[in-house]
Amino acid sequence: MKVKIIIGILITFIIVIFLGIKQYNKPHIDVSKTAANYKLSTNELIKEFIIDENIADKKFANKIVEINGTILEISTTNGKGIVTLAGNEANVICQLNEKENKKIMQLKKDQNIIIKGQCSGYLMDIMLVNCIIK
Amino acid sequence: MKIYTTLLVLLLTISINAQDKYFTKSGNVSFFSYTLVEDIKADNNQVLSIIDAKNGEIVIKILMRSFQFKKALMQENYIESHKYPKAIFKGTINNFETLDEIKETEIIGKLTIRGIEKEVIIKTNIERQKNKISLKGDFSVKVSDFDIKIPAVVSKNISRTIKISFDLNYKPYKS
Repeated sequence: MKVKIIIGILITFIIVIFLGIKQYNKPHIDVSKTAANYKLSTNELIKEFIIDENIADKKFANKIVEINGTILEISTTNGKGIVTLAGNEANVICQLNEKENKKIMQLKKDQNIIIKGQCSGYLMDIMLVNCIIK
Repeated sequence: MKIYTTLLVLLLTISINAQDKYFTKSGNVSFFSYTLVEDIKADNNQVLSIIDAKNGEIVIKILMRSFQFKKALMQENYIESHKYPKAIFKGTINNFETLDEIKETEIIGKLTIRGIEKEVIIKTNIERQKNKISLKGDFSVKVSDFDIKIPAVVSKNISRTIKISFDLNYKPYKS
């Protein structure tokens, strides 16, 4: 009897530790496998931030946004691909997920494109991270 | 006539100087926390910064959520980015006028994280060319200075002082 209780406690203990470690090491959201919270155009997204940054920040922050727009600039910083989408009053700067870096070679300025990524907010432009090209 | 020419030259220099702003939208800021248990690093490649070459004033704006961690859990969030989405630094680069080529200098200013403002002095390498300014260096901040609360469970994993490094490459600002 006593042995059973001890084994029971031990098993629970191991499960708790296991879950704890799993939680601590849980992976990032896979943007490509997660449905977008919002789908909109570059200018629609920019407009929301320009009208009221606080409201837009609460609405879009850390959410997965799928935007369609026109490429203004393609570059790399620190080994990360960056695609800037042109807007009227600001632009949307999309930092690509490392897995997407290869696709950058096929992109051209003025090309229409759909990009999905996590919105991190607004400085002079709207920033997306972890982006994938659809 | 001479006076007019002088005035014209003077006006021209003033207007040229007025445009003397350098900026970057893709600056790099990283932070590091070293403990015996774990090393934590996060990168942000979307840093916005403007230098006013007239007087060496510098502004740096950072979106907290643009920091990319290795572990997703760390992304959320002892820094409370929902309440304080940005960190801002405003300061002045010392001896900015006399700098050319590679030199070291200090930037003195105020760093605001989580709405708390702290005076900081940052040592930096600076490279100034005609169409380019770059700043590179690192400094440390105390977690307690910005009232960042770290849960007891992970307190051994996170250092009390965080090293912040920066690498900012500016181009002339076209307005």
